[in-house]
Formats: sequence, structure tokens, C-alpha cells
Amino acid sequence: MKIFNISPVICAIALLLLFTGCKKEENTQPLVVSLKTGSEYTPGGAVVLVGAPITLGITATASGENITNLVIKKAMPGGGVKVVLDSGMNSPGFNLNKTFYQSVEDTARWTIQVMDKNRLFATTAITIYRDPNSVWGGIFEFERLVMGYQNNTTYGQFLVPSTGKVWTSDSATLNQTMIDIVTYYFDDEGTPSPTFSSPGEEGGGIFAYYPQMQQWTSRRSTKWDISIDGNPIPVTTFDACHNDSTLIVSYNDVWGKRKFKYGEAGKVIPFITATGKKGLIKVLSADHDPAGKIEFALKIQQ
Amino acid sequence: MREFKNEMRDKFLIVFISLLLPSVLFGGGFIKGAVSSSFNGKPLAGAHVVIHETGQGVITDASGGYTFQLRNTGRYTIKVSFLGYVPEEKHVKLNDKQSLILDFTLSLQIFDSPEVEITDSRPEQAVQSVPQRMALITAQAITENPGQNITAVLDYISGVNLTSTMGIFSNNTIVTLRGLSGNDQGRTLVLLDNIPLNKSDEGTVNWNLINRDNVEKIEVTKGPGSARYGSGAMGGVINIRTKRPDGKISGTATAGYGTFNTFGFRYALTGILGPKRPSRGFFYDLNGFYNQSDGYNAEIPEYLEPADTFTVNTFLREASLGAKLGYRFNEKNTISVNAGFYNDKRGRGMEIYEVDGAWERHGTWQASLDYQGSGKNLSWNVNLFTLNEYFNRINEYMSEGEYNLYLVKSHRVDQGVLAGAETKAGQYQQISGGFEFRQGSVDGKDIYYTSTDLISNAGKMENYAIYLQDELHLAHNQLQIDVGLRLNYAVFHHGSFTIENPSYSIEYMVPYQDTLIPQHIWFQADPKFSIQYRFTPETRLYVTIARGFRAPNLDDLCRTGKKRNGFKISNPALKPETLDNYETGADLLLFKKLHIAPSLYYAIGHDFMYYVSTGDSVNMGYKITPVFQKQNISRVDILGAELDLDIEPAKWLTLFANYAYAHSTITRFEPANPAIDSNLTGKFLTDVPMHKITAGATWKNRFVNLNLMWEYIGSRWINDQNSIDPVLQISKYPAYYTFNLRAWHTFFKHIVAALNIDNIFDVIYIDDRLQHNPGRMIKIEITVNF
Repeated sequence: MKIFNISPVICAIALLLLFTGCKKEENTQPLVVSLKTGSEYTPGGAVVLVGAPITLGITATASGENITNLVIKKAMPGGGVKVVLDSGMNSPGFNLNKTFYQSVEDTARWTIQVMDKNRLFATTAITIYRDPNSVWGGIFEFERLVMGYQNNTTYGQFLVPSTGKVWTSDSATLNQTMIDIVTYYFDDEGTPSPTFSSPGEEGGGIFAYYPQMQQWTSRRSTKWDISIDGNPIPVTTFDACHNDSTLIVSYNDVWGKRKFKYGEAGKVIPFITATGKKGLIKVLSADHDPAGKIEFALKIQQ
Repeated sequence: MREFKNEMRDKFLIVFISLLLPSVLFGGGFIKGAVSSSFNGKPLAGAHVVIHETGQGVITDASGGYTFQLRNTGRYTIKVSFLGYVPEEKHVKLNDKQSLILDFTLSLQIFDSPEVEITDSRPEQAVQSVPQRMALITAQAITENPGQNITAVLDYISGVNLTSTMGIFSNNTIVTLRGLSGNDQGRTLVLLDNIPLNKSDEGTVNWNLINRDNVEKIEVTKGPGSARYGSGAMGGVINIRTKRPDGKISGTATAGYGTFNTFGFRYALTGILGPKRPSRGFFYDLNGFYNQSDGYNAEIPEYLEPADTFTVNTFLREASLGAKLGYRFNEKNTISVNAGFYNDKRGRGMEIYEVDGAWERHGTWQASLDYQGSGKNLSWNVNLFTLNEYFNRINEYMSEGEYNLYLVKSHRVDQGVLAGAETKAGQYQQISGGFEFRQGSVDGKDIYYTSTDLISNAGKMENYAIYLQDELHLAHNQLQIDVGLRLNYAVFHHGSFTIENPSYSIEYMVPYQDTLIPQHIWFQADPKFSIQYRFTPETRLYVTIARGFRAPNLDDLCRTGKKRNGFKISNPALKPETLDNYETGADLLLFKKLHIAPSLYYAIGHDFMYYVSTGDSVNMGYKITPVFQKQNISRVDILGAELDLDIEPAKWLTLFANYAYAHSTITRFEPANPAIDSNLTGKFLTDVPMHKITAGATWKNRFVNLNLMWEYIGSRWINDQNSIDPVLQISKYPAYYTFNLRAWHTFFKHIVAALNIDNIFDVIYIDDRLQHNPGRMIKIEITVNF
């Protein structure tokens, strides 16, 4: 009688076990977002003066897929929700600090939400209170400033908003650590337009018009609230503003972009500088010529 | 040695005696006769004459004569066929030692364009059997064309307008006909073995999934064909027919390598299984291909911003597998099942964080069941098909310094039943008709990763149609009259547009959500009338009047979203566009070798769809913009002419040239709001060259065969307004020309080594997406035919 050879069966079972047992190790670590603690960060329950900085230290770690979205929003007591940051990324994790400025609401629930490429979410939140002793801050007011576009040889194109000083190119390079606003006539795509920007644009049109800025070691970023094209601020509001109350509430963080196109006469444009100073520009006139100029009034927090 | 010679002699005698013995012992007789044409009475040399019962076959000689010597008496069926003529058969009884005289007079073939059967040998004569302008591309012409893909082959047909700046790297190649805008595939119908490839969602065709080695021929029918084919057949119909087994195993396999590290292979194999009896049994077809390339950077440096450092090569990887299995019950009844799978990944020239950057993928599977049968006077065909595309596109880009990543994911299904039959009604008339049911659906999603948005749109459309065509042949088939009518009934339903987790940037879209877009029904009738007189088999004059239409796309019916410079909403009430075409043409044969084919047509398009403002506006956060919607608001007039010349001055030399003229303008446009909408009255259609010329020469010799092809594409308007493009700073794409060359040599009858040079002089041209063509591409190919 022939003895049944079971060795092939054993080998097959062993191979089966081997392959089924060699499952790719899955990342079981969940998607996590958390707030850092320390004296440099604003803690939950903090009481903050209007206009004072709120610094959030955020760390996040991805699970299976990279983190692709970070949203920071604040919920106000009346039920309103305001998104202050909605940013894209593609990273296995991050560690960053974001600074905002206390607005006029009495209390706000700040929620920090991250999403990964699997569209899984993780959130954390803190509550921050307005200091009842807050007072409106002072502002610098400039009734008429004139800046040139890239081909203008009469007026400078680089502005220090806190002083109202407009520099030409060579002087600006020497004072690059103070420059917050740059103007040019943007005609690279779409309808050409008078444009406000800043050294931190690092692209768009600014390097094309001012190539020397690529050599700057300090390029400060000013963010421009582009939502006013949909929700314009009345000129009368600008004219009536003599403290920082209007400046603080006018700027919408989430719509803060690196340049403002179509800076036409009559528009009131909110902005925030790299140092967190909020301001408004009221355009008085704007030429449509790369060698032309733009005239405007400016108000900025002191 | 002597023994060997004796052995050979004996064997020879045995064979000789065994061949003669049956006729001596059992008798038999002869069947002979002549085959001639009823058209002119001349003998037909080269006709096939077959005895059905014995399988014996001969070809008629120069005088049209044939002879069979038969060893057995009995009843026989003699069948005669010849290209361009109606096959005939006769039944005879052969008595012992009888010599039967059996003559055949064949009538000219009645060609119904959907089922035109044309062999490769004399296509120019056969296509004239259709009373409209038709072009045929044979398998040989496809093989010998230096172009990189199947659409490059089509580009040398007059009236064809190819929009494919990036060549093999393109994922949205558009082939249009007869002066219709070169940015919309939906107005030209493309069929693969009669199955529509245009998707209901956007009317697009994925040309990349076609294996050129598996194509037997391409029939390009110019002018409206909706009386037979329905939606999409406005400019014409491109019917790609795949190879069929011819009773033996045959195939081809090709491997190639070229510019941009492009390499790939393709194969096609057909054959029969089981007993080697061609009239019965299983047959099969296997085909596939794989291609990959490092690609090239299609961006134009002068239009790049200094910060745009993310542009990369537009790579490609693609693979296809196809199989067909069929069973032939007899010579008249065949059933087959066809299945195919295609998958690709094509880079879009931008890479930031993702491994392959921005890319597109078309995962496509298709299946069909085809049954063809015929009786004494009736033939029929039933076809069930499904075409499923899983489309994915990763968009990854920087905008104003912000990173964006999202996936467009769509499942598009087109399926249906096509059933047709045709019969002879008397000696001079042929009637064909049929029923069609098609269903198209889309389930699309924009899945954002760098924001929380998840936008969905969906919709379905069912199309029911019946058609009837009558072909009347008079005056010995010299006069042909075709009349046809197709009635279409369509229902759009289950449309929806929804948003989950809207972020701040698309809050303006939220009010436009609609979980049940209203159902919409439309009806469409498409008549056709054609008349043709053939003075000789090669000379004719025809006049045709026909209507074509194109159904609204699902994308326009149910998708709401951003568009260039604004925001658009769906319009479920859209109705079809129509095109009425009046055409005359002729074919002449001069000096027995020069074929001349002029055509002249005038087409009027009604209810063409364009975007116009609705009067509403939305606040997109950064600006208030008008809301646009596609509406049937314009009339288009197209005046066109074509002239085709071809000549074969010697067997080793073939020359062709053609010229196409198209004057395509919008003659009426009704802007909803003149302050917002540009009035396009008097403007030219975009992407249509007014002048196009192509020419080519094929020189065959014992050393290196050469095929040199040239084309001139006239200037084309860039945008609907015929205005200066803000980026390109021009209003028309400049005219350009290209030269292409293929050189090849055949070794050992089965191996072909070829060198293809596409765009010899490296001419660069651009499109409105600011991308340029690959320039000169050189490819070496080795083909094995078996």
C-alpha cells in the first residue's frame, strides 16, 4: 500500500500561513491634532485684550495618509461661526504656530480641525475670552499716499505703512526689513489691473517686475482681504474710523491673500502686515499704465 | 540510387492513377461559364466562384470565365461574389459527363452605410456605392501611416479636424468633421464595431483605448448621419471596425522604442477553434497593448511665472486587453461576445507633493454581445453593449501661493441594445429598420483634500429610437434613391447636485443644491434624402439632404460649478442641437488612374448651445460674478468644400492630396443680457481651420518602402468672441504644417522593421491651455506578422 505523502500539503499550509501572516503592518496610530502648551502660547480659558495676539501652537500627526487640510474656526455665542484659517498641505505631520488677534466678541470657541487624504478628521478646541477692560487702540492715518507702478520713475513702489514712507527700488533694498507694501500694474493674465502686494508674495508678478527682490534676505508678507469685492466696505466707514475698531473687524483672516488685484478708485481694502498690524486702504485714483501711479489713503494700527 | 528512382516512379504512378480513377470509374462533368456586370455588360475578372458542397473555388479569368471539373454527379450550389456587386448563387443538377454552361450577371451592390462591407482591394469604388461622401482607411493604410496613434491616421482625411496638441500624451483628443468646432467631440459620432464610444456625460471619446493593430478598417461618413445613428452624428460618423477571423490563425505583434524614452508593444491575434470548417465553429480574437513614456514638459517657458517651478514631464502609462469569442452556426448566423479592459495614467505636467503629481486615469471596461443572422431575404443584427469608464483626475497645483489638491472621480456608464434588420422588397428596393435603446449615466464627485468640500453630481438619460430606411435602385442600379427617418424619444431623470462639508470658499454654491433636478423629456426626428446617379462604376454625381442632431450632455444637464471666468449652473431643460445639411458631390476617373472627388455642402445649425447669463449673480467671496447657463440660443452656418485627388501612376507609387475649406460662423446669437454676454453674431466657430491641405506619397520598392505625408493646418480662432487671448496676445492660432515619414523594409516575408518620424522639421504649435506639442518624435518598430 502506497503511503500518502503529506509533505506537499504541509508545505502548502505553511506557505499559506506565511503569506496570510505577512500582512503589511498597518499604521494603527490615529490622526491626532493637539495644542502645544507653554508661556508663548495662548492657553484655553485665556482672557485677551481686543487687538492683542492669540498664538496657537499646533501639532498634528497623520495616520495612514498625509494630512491635507487645516481649518481653524471660532464659534461665537450668538451661533455665528467664523473660519479664520483654511489651508491646504500634504504632510505626514506638522508643528506650527499661528497668530491671530483678539476681535470684539466676548467669548469664542476656537476649533482646530485637521483632515487627511482619507478624509478622516481630528479636532481640538479651546475657549478664549475678551478682556472686558479692552479699549480701542490708536491708528496712524495718511490722507494721501502716492506709489508708482513698475515702470514709474517718479514715484517709489515700496511702502512702510507705519510711517507712510515710500521708497524707490534702491532705497527699498537697503530698508527691506521694513517694507510691507509693494505696488505694480499686473498685466500677466486676465484683465490688467492696479495691484497691491508685498515682498512676501514671492511669485505672481512681483519677481517679474522687481527681479532684484529675489536677492532680498527679508521679505515680509502682507495679506490682503480679497472678500471686499463681494462685500464692499463703504467709504464712509473708512472716513469715520479714527481708532482701530473698524480695522480689527474689517479684516477677514480666511480671505487674506498675497495680493490684491483690481485696486480701483473707491475701494476700501483691509490688510494685515507680517507683524499683525491691521489696516485699511482707500483707493483715491489708479492709473492703468505700467508707468502710472496709484493714490490712496491709509489707516493702520499703531 | 536505382531503387530510389523506381520507388519515386511507383509513387508517381499511384498518385496519377488515383487522381484519374474516380473520373473513369464514377464519371462526372464540367460546370463552366462567365461572370459579367449588369452595369455595363463587361466581364468581371477576379470574381470568386465557389461550389458550396465541395468547397472548390476559382477566380474568373480576364474574360470573366471559370471552369470546374467535377468527379461526382449530383446537385450543386454555385456561388459568385465580386467586390461592389451583389453576390449570387445558382442551384444546378450535374448529370454524368455533362458540361453545364452557367453564366452570372451581377448587379451593383446596394450599400447601406451602417453595414458597408468593403474589402481593401478597391475601396474607392466601393465607397461610391453610398450616396454621400465617405472615406475609407484600410488596415494597410493604418499600418503604413507614420502617425503615433489612430487619430493621426484620421487627420489625412479631408474634412477631418484633429485637436490633439500633445499627440500620444493627450487625454482629450477631439476629432470633428465638416467645420464643426474643434473643441467638442459630441458633434461627431464615433463607433467601434457599431457601438458608440461617445460618452453621454460630455460627448467625449477616449481614443487612446483603440488598438491600431486590431483595426480592420475605418469608415468615415461625412455629413449628418442621425437618420440612422441618432445623437452625435452631426458632422459625420467615424466607424472603426475591428478585425475578424478569416478562417486561419493570423496576427501581428509590434514592439517599438522612440523619443522621450517611449516604448511599448501591441498585438492582435485572430483565428478559429476546433474543426477547420470556416462556415461553422468557434472563432476568437485576442489583442492588447502596453505603452509608456517619460514624456515631455509641455509648458511654454515664456508664459510661466518665476514661482512656477512645479512643471514636470507629461508622462504616460497605458495598457489594454481585449478578447472576443464567437460561434458561427453556419454562414448566416454568428454570435460573439467581446470584452475589453483599458487603463492608463497620464501626467498633467504639474508635480508638487504627490508622487506622480497631477494626473488622469481612465479605467475602462466594455463588453458586448453581438448576434448576426440572415435568412433568404432578411438579415438582422442584435447588439447588447456596456461601456463603463471609471475616470479619476488628480488636480495638484499652487494658486496664489496656496496648495490645492482634489480628485475628480466619475463613473460613466453607457449601455444599450441595438437591433436592426434589412430586407429586399422586390428587385429594386431594400428596406432596413431597427430599434435602439441607450442609457447613459454619470455619478461624479469632486473630492477635495485641501479643503473639506465634497461635491457630487449625477444624472441619467434614456434614449429610445426607431429608424427606417428605404433604398431604391433604378436604371440598372445606376440611379439610387435613399430615404430615411429616425425618431428619438429621450428622458433625462434622477439628476442631482449636492455638496457635503462646504468650506468657506464655496459657500455660494450651497443654495444651488438640488437632490432631484426636474425630469425632462424631448423628442427629435431626423430625416434624410439622397439621390445618386452612377455614370460608370467609377463616376457618379450625388445630392443629399440630411439632418443631424446632438443630445445635450449630462454634464450640462446636471452639473453646477465653476467655469472659466465665472460660475455655471445646470440646465435640465436643454434640448438637442440640430444641423441641416445640403450637399452635392461627384466622383470622376480621368486617364483611368486619376480619381477626383469634389464635394460642396452648406449646413445650418439650429439651437446650438452656448453659455449666457441668467440675470442672477453669486458672491464667490472674492468677487460677484454673473451666473451662466448653457442655452439653445444660436444659429450656425457652415459653407464647406472638399476636393480629394488620388492617383496610382505605377504599382510602386501612390499619390494623394486633398483640400478642405470650411467657413463656419454664428449667424444668430441671442444674448440674454447684452451688458454681460458677448454677442457672438458673425463670429467664427473656434478651433476650425478655414483651410486644410494634406498630401502624401507612398513609394514601394525592394529596398526601403517610404511613406511621406504632409499637412497644412490653417489658422484657427482661439475663443468664441474671436478676440485677442489675454495671455497669448493673439486671436488666432497661427497656421502650421508638418511632414511625417515612415520607412520600412520586410524581411523573410513576416518581419517588418520600420522607422517613423513624426513632425520631421520639429514644428512647434500651441493651444489655449498654454501647452505645446511634443515636436519631432522618432520611433523604431519591429513587427512580426504571422
